[in-house]
Amino acid sequence: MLPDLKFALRSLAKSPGFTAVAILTLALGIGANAGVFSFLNTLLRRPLPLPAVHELVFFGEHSQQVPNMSVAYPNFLDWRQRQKSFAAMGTFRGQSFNFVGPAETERINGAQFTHDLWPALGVRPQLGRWFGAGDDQPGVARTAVISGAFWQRTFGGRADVLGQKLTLSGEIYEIIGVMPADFRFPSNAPDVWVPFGLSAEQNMNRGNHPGLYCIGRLKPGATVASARADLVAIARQLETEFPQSNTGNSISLESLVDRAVGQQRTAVWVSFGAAFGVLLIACANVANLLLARAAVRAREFAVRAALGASRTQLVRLVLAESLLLGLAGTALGLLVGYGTMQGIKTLIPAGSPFVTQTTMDASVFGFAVLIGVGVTLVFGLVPALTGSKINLNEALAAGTRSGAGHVSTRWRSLLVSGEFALTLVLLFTSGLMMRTIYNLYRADAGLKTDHLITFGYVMPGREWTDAAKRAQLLDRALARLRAIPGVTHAALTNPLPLAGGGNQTSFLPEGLPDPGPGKRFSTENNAASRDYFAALRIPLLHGRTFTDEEKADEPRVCVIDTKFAETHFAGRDPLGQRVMFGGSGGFTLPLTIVGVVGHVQNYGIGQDTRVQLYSPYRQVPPGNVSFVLRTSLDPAALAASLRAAMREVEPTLPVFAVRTMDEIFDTTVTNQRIMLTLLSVFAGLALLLAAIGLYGVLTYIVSQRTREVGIRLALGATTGAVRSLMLGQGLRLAAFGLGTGLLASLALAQLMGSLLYGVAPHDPLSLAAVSLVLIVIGLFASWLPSHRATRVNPVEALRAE
Amino acid sequence: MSESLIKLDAVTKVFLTDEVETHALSGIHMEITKGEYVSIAGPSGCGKSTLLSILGLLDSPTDGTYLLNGRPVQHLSLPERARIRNREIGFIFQSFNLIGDLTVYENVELPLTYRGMPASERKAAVTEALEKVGMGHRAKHLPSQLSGGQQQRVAVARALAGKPAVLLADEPTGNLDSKNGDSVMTLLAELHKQGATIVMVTHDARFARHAARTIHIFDGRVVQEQVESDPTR
Repeated sequence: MLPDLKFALRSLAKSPGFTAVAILTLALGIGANAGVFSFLNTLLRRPLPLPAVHELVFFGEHSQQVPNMSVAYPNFLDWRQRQKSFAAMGTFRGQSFNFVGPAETERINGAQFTHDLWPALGVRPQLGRWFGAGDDQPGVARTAVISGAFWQRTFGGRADVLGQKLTLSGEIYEIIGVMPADFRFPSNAPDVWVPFGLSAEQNMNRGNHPGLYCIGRLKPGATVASARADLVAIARQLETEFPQSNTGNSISLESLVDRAVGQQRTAVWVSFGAAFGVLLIACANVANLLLARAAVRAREFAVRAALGASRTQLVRLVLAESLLLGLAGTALGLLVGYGTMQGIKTLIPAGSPFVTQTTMDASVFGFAVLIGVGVTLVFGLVPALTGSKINLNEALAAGTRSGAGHVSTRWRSLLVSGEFALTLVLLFTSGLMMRTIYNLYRADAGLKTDHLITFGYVMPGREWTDAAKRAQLLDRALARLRAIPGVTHAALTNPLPLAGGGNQTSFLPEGLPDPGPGKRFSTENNAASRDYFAALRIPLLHGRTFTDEEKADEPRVCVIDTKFAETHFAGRDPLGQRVMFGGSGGFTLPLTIVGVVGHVQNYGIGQDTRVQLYSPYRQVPPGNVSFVLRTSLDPAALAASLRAAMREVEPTLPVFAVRTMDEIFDTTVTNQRIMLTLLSVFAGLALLLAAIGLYGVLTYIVSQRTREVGIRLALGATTGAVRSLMLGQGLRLAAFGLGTGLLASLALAQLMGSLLYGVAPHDPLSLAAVSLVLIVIGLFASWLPSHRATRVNPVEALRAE
Repeated sequence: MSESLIKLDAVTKVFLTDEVETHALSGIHMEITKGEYVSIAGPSGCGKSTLLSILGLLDSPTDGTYLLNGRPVQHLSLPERARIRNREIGFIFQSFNLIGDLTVYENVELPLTYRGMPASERKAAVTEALEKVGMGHRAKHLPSQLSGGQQQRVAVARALAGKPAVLLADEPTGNLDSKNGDSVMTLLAELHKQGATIVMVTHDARFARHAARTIHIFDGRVVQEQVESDPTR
């Protein structure tokens, strides 16, 4: 084999143009695959930086009214006590804190954990200890574990950090441990973890689901399904034991991996499929180049055969070239792959496991080598076999031609048709994503996100437990924000639409009997200020919105949305009607409806929504709000002004999560945007390679048919007829590819259903558009070789005999 | 007096390759009348094939006049030349030049297709031409399934099918053994008897004698014209 490789190397060096084109083509295909595979590797092998991550399951609750519900703390305690499936389990909720730092107060991310969550997750602190059961109960000294990043940032990585005090949202905690830098749970960039048990007493109501979710590590032999059965059985017991709070409630359970990256699974696989399509197209082009090369080398092979070379030896010679091309293409492809991976990372929200966990590791390297060399060898087999099939008499006599010519042309045509088929699939899927993105941005979310800037604001701890004090602060803040030049509306809300959060509350329309546990109505329950609806351009359809006159001690009022009105007051005027809030203790708190506004798709376009109800913040001032400012200026330019304004209002409370509403909307379509970008790039690449492939094949065919063209011209064919002949041949190849590609597209697009919005997987418009694009590209790629055919000099062509 | 079909007057052809000027034809004067059977003879490289290319409008003269059916054709546009080739001229090549992917029938039909002839007329013309050369029974075969002599017969049928004014044959027996060569020459003779005008290039004196007149070319010039007293000998 070594002499073959040496000869192949020399032979490739003598054809630098061919070699460069082949290696570059392969590098593009292999690079696209290596880049996308690095994300597939993350998905399949290490989606989260946790040990034995596939043993971890994530669970919460659900009811008929609320499909995704957090866990009531007493339920968690019962599950933990009765379950048989987990070696360890704990619960947590995300929590941010106002941290009084050396320079200023800042908002930091963190979480409340129960102590048993630490062994379930299985990551030990790099310094100090986890908090234990003794730390995780009401009334004990407050302890905290901090992240490696926070340790470095705030304490300069000092070893004496243990025992230091932290002031978090007005409470003092003692640092007892530092986690490793790569421990990121449950958020992307957590700074601190504190025991949930400290606030357990406030969360002992089973009807209250305070944002807790659970993690369990499966015992050996237990599965997600068996754990689900175990917990569902316990949930059934709790329904019987606590019917008022638990009727109709059950467990939602999935693997933690599915929870973390499940939504991206389809996107990653589709991207990988697209990249593999590009690789196949690249390989088809290289195979075409090799076929042409084999045809040119027919005489050389004939001489070798005449001198005693067996067919195997000839095949090996051609495969040696393929091997070298594959290796070189892989080496360059790894560089392209690294660039692809970094490029894709810029599209993904920071902190996603796909950003933090994805690297070009040994698996990616191995994969690139495997596909680079493997696919190149497989595709090299065709030219090797056709090139080595020689009619000695013919080849030696004719000088250059061999009997392999027809076979070669057939293979080349087949390869090009295949390229067009794959390109159509890629173009079609990217067309579907394009229409999806267009539809998402065009869809009516029920509000207008333009010219809006928003930020978070929390009034934490004992200092802000007084609702009136909170209301006064919020009043002052709104007044100050309205005074910022360029601000046309200043409003507040909780929760912020499109940001992913939601509060649900049970209620009864006044006069209706309580349908009983598990059957009560549920509504999105939002706090809002006077200008909220005007600021977000949520239309007022009936009645009024809020004023500045609502008082906490006055009868409560509310505004409902059209969906609420249609669902609960169909055929009646909802104005003046009352809905009753309360809960398992009875529905005794009346809210009078004063207005009806438009429905808002608050979880994002195309997501499930419930009926919506708004209360004036002055009557129930939340401790956690989002301010929304509408401006006539560029909203991002207001960031500094609003921070300064809020410092004036209350210097101890930080402003955080300053974003435009357009940015927030963008995050709701991140998956689709990433898919669109990747598919467009891959489809463009595929289109280019397919066009080059068709051009190459037609050029080859024209050279093979020169004599035939000469005959046709001699018989009176016009140049137009010759051009049509060649164009027709090119278009036939493209059309055959189109036909195959159409069938494949329709089958494969079904897999993308979950990523599409407002467009069917078999969208005829997209199919027609991409078919047209491919036909035009087919014409374009065929034109030059066809034109060249018309320039054939019949005298010379016939003399060549 | 017989009607003139082809008339060349001081036709020259100069090829320029790099800095070398090659005079393939140097002032050819020639006249061929309708129904005549003319052979053009001469040694290899004398300009026979160049002359035939010019006669067949595959190439144009550098200088001089070419009248075909009384019409000057030396300066025609490419589409016009293609049209005349298709309608007025039938080619028979030394290496047959059949298209390998087309059947015998389709090969013969090809020039008629370019002419835009309706399918029914084409069918009649192709059938008649194939019968004339004795190849009607091989219509569905591919050229590769025929012997050399049979392929040349098909090529003759293709040249005949459009009923051209003149048949131009370039060494039509060059790739055939003597038996098949004789057979093709007999076929051309029969066609001539039926009224066809034939111009044949050959360097084989035996076959040249089948023509009524032989024009000898040497170094791009007509050096001799010889009229056979009995071309059927």
